[in-house]
Formats: sequence, C-alpha cells, structure tokens
Amino acid sequence: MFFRFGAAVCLVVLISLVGIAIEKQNLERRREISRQHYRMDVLKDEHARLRLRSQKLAAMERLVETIEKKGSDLKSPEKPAPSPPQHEGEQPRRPPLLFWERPVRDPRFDESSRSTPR
Amino acid sequence: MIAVVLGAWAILGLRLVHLQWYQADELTRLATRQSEVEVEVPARPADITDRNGKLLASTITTPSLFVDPKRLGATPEFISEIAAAVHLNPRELAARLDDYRDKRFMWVKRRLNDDEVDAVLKMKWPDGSYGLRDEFLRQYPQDSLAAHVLGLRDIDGSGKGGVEQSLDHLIRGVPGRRKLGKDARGRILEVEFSPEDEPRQFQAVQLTIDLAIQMFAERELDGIVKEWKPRAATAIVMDPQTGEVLAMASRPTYSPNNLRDVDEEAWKNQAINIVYEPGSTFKPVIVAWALQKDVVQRDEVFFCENGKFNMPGRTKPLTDVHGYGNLNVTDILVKSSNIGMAKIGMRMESLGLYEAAWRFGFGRPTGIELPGELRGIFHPLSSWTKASLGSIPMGAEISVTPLQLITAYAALSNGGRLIAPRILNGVQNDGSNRATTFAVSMEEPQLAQPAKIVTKAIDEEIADWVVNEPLTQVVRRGTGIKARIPGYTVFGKTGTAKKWDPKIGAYSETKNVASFIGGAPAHHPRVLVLVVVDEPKQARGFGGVIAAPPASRILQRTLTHLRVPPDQDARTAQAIDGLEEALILLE
Repeated sequence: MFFRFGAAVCLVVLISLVGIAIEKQNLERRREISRQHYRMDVLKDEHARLRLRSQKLAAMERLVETIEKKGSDLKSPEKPAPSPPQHEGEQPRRPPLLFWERPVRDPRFDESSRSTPR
Repeated sequence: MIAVVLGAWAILGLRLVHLQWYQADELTRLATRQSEVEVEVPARPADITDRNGKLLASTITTPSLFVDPKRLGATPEFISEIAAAVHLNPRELAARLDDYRDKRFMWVKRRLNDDEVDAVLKMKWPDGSYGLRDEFLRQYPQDSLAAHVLGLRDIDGSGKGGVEQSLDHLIRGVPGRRKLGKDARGRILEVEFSPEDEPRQFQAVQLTIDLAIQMFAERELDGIVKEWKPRAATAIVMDPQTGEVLAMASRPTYSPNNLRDVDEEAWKNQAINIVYEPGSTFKPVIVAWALQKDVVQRDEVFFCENGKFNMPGRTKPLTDVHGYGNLNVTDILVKSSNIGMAKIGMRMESLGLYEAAWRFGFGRPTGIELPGELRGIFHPLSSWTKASLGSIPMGAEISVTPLQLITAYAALSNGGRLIAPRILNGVQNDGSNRATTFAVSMEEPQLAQPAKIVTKAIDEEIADWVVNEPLTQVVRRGTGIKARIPGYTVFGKTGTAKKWDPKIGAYSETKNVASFIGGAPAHHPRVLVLVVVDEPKQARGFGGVIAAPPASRILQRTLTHLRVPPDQDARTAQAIDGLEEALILLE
C-alpha cells in the first residue's frame, strides 16, 4: 500500500516537474520572441537613422552647392573594389565597379549619426 | 471519524466549485490585472518621398526625460545638476517641479540628444524617480527644400501645415497594442505580440514633387530674392497633361529642422495662401473664352486708340504702355494691349467675362491636397460696374492664387480640359520605390488615382490655337522674349499688375506683382512654369524682365531633366530667332 502510495506521489511529482520544465521552456521561448521583436524594432529604427543620414549626405542641394563652390570632393580610389569570390556554375566575372569615397567626414552630418542608448 | 473526513472533503469540494464556478471571472480578472498590462504602441509616421522615392521626411526615435516629482524630492543642487545635464534654465526647472510637486509625472525635456542622455544616465537619481521614454522625432533631410509643401509635425506628432497636415490620416498610421506579462514585483517578463494588434502604417506617402525640379525652382527663387529683394515670391512647375505639381516653392521660407526666429510671412505657402491680381497673365483666358463663344474671330482687328481710350463708365482713360493702332487678336496678346482687351471685354459683356473666369476655375479652390488653399477674390456679378468690362479682361478687379492661374493655363495647354492639380502620387507599402496604391484611408486602399477632369473648359482646337499662336508669339517677339529656350518652342505670357494700396485708396505706382507663366514644347506641352514676384524693388518691375528669365531657366532645366526632346532644329531655331529679332528692331 505504501509502495503504491509512494509511487503515486512520485508520479504526481514527476508530472509536475515535467510540467514546470515545459512551462519554463515555453516562457523562455516567449522571451526569446519578445527579444527578437525588440531587436526588430531597434533594427528598424537603425535602418531609419541610416537611411536618413544617407539621404542627408546625398541631399541634392548640398551636393550641388559643394560642386559649385569648390568642385566635387569625391575622389576615385587608388585601387578598384575587390570583386566577390566566384563559385562554380556562376556567370563569368564582370570587372568590379569603381567605388567612390569621401576623403573627409563632414562634421555637419555627424550629429545625426548617433545611436540612442537603450 | 469517517463522517468528519468526508465532511471536510465536501467543504473543500464545495469551496473549489465556488472558486471555479462562481468567482472564476472575478479572480481571473484580478490575476490578469496583476500579471498583465496593455500598452499602446504608436505607429511610426510614414515617410514622405518625392515621385522618385527620394526621402523628404522621415522619423527616428529619440529618448525624452520624465520624472516622478513626488519621488524625486529634489534639492536645489540636484535640480541644478539636472538642468545642467539637459541644458535647461535651473530656475525655470525648479519652478516647474514646484508646480508639479504633488503629481506623479512631469516631462523634463523631450527629444534629448546623445550627450544629454549620457549626462542623465551618469547622474545618481533616487530610485524610481525618473525615466527615459522613446518618442518619434520627425526629420527633414532636404532641410528647407519644399518646406511649404511638407509642413511639419509638432512636438506631439500632429501635422501642421503642408501635406503633414492634409495627409495626416495617411501619414500617422493606426497605433497598435501590446500585452506585457509581469511578475509579482512588476518586472516585465514577456511581451506578447499578435500580428493583428501591431501598429499599422504605410511605408511612405509619395508626392508628385520631383526633388531635382524643386531644387531648380528654389534656387531660382533665391536668385530673385538676391537680385530684386521682393516682399515674397513663388514658383510652381506642373505637368499640364496630368495636373501633377512637379515643384512648388515660396520665399520667404524656413527650415523645418530649425524653427527658431521664423518670420511670420515665411509660414505662408505663397502658391495657395495668398491672392493677387493676375494682370496680363489673365488675358489669354478671356481671349480663349471669347473665341469659344464666337464673340471674336481669330483674324479680327481691333483699333487700340493709339494708347489712350476713354472707356464708358471709367473716370480715368485706359492706357497702354505703348500706343497702338490696329491690332489683331494675336497682337493684342503679344503687345499685351489693355485697350484691345477692354474692347474684347465690352463685346463679351459682364456675363461672358464672368463665365470665362468661372469656366477656368477662378473663384473656387482647386482642391489640391494642401491645407489653407484660398478661393481667390471673384466678386458676384451683381457688384460689377461698367468699368469692370475694362478691368476684368486685363486681370484687375479679380484676385487669384498662383495655383489657380497655372491650373487655368494647364487647361489651355492640354486641349481645354480643366484638371484638378494634385500633389499626392500615392502610398507605398511594398518596400519598392513606386507608389502602388492611392489610399483614401488605411482601410480603403485604391488603385493609383487617375487625372481628375473637372470640366471641359474650351474646345481643343481653340486651346491649341491660343497656345501655338498668340502665346508662342509672346515669347518669340513680344513681352516674353527673355523666356526663349534654344531648341524648344516656348509659349507664355508676362504679367505686371499694380498693387492696390489701401492707404491711398488707389493702385500704387511703386508696388507691383511681376509674373510670367509659360511652358514647352508648344505643340504638346509637357511642362508649365509660373513665377510670381511680389513687390520687387524696381520701379518698373515688368514680368518680362523680372519673372521671365528665371521661369525660362526652370523650364529649360526641367525639360532637360525630364528628357523632353527639343522640337526645333537648333540651326532653324537660331535662324528664326535672328529673323524675329530683326523684325523687332525694324518695328
């Protein structure tokens, strides 16, 4: 009788422990989903910031003003941009496009590149 | 003993039934309130882009600082420390904290910059006395470009002026809700996401504005301001076939990113928020309607009284700048003869003139998607006098907005169809740079909006003749000669209207409005440009001198930008120009 009672109690405890473990796992998963959503929000915000900054840097009026005042401050790179590695079965390589770079940072636009601490 | 045990079990059973059956709802509600909290998630306002997807307005998040004044219990030293961290006046902050001393929430400063956030985080705050909450901050990457078209969003995110106000229902989106699960101590354990409760917003609202053309217009206005120092100026560029506004600029202007010390006049969108007497630019509208009604014939000749005409009903004689004898309808427009127009007006009578203005959309708003559009001043027929027959045909006694005028010219340029101008191209929600839908609201997206024809103003043949004959001649050999563009057949009309001076109760001899409206190519106009300069600092500030050259430059750059091919061979155009200049010299 005691054996049966003990077995029943053990079974109940076991089932409870399994239930708790599953519940904890479930909670952990949900937390992970929450974190992913949070990361998504942060990335969206970062995307908006970077897009805004790129549009500020490429603002037509600013570029035209720069060109009119002293000519473009864009300079060609010393060597072409490296082309991506080629894999089998891919189309033949095309010559890499030149990439253009700004020689100095423009302090007027640095303030918009900040990131908000969380 | 058994009875006691059974009784105890029965009581427990009954209590369970009571809890699970009768009190279930109430207890569930209490438990949910303790463990869950629902918060509103504001929708990120949609971006605003030009017709090519270039960003005009976007939104980022920035932290704002709030405090719980009751918990803060701040000493003067600590208040000074807070004020120094977020660059506020310590006295003002202390006064505000004093006002809020019994409250549990107070904004200290909204939209902090990075340095301010760092300084705030370094401070030693009493527990639970402060917090940083992310808020949306609207940014305008093109700065003052198209400022009047865009408007701005205030500190609470409400649209003020421009499309930010008029298209607020599309831009602001629909806020969502999120459930936060918390433990007994109130710490957030999880955030429940459900797709149907997420905030909904369009990716971007796309305007018909072309940023490059907008820049051409703005730069020309800057040049006008520098050279002529006017009270105000405006430029509009429109596609006359569709009514799409390609550019709309005003001076004075402001930067929506920096609203300190903005002049009151700078808030006005001079294209729709002011009215002026159009002067001679109104004449082609009258001529077109007179031809439509068969009141005059194209080859008819009018005697222009050698420059001085005592018109019945007028106390002062009507004059022209130069004295002319006989002029045909084309030359009346080319020479911009007020007397010739008065004679056409007398032929049309009041009703005809009234009908002409009404048919071309004057006296009522055009319906563009911008706030505060004026309807102009167009007096009822009953208040007209005999003198009105001479005044209205030369663009006096009627006040219009620049947008109304360019809309009327669009009707002349597109074969007589009066099209409602528009500035909204559509909304983007598929990640591409193309507007795929035109939406009335978030709930009712529709297919792209077609050009809206308001009315058929005049016959196509008459409209084509007015554009290809008199208006083209105005630019070839008339007052608009400075608007010529090599390779293109440009048409247009200059206007120089004296301003009414309420102080002297008469038209001012020193203040006027100089304007030019024109387009190209004349056989199938693709672009229309209007430049209006209000009170240029020049005693005889004629539209042909002040407004025509910048309008011509805007037109030329726009045609090149839109890759509209020239309609004249360069050498032929040069020969025609040479011949016409010789004819002008001979005259």
